[in-house]
Amino acid sequence: MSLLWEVTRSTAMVGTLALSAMVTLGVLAASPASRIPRFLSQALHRNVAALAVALVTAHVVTVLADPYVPLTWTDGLVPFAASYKSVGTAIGTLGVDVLVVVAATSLLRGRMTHRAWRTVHLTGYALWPLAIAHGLLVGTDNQAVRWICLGGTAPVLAAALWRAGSAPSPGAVR
Amino acid sequence: MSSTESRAAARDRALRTLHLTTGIVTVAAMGATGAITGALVPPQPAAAPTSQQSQPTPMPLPHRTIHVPSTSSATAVVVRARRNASTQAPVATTGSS
Repeated sequence: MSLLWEVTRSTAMVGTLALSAMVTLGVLAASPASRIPRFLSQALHRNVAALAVALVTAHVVTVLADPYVPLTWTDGLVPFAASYKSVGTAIGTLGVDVLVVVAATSLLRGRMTHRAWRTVHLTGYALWPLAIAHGLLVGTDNQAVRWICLGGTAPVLAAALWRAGSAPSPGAVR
Repeated sequence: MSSTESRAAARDRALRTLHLTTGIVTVAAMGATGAITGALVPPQPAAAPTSQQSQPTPMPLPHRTIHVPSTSSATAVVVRARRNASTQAPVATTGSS
């Protein structure tokens, strides 16, 4: 096993936490009930998202460059192209594809309509469960991965429940 | 300073603090990644030669075997003696008088 393989695993662990923080902050930033000024919560969400993208990029680049796992660049972008733990790797590949699309549309937000950007951005919600499923299916050689996935799940679920509970009902009279 | 200007200044300060904080978090995340990598890397075998250590380290033997010549017959009697000093090299003597 090479150093690249260990970097792959460590970037996956820290990246999972960063993705969880990114989604949690995204949920909180979009909530009308949040007491934090929106410009602050959105800036924090963007910064953490940049960190998560950097860690995921490092994870993908190192796993593809490492000869320990026989993966090609095609395997890293096309789901089910890899033979190594095909289902778990495909879920991770799908997550990377979603992340690329969401990040690209966020960078091009000024050139898109708000409706189009929001529609694409909401698919980012799928990114987080994909990342957790990928970690649980592929990261089977280390117990810490399960704890990290569990630790990342708690704030996301708490934020989602809080937002669902604080959102006004459709029929509410204001 | 008008209220609009003061609000803009407060917003800039808040954003600067936010970026500084996230910068620190980013450095911490990179440090955590490095620390986890270091913890995951398995220790190298002790006998592996390094650049400074060109000569291989001889493995110590727990016992030495001495073949003592027999005076009554040609058959050698093998005596296993405990190694009594670290300076003593393993000795293996065979033969008959």
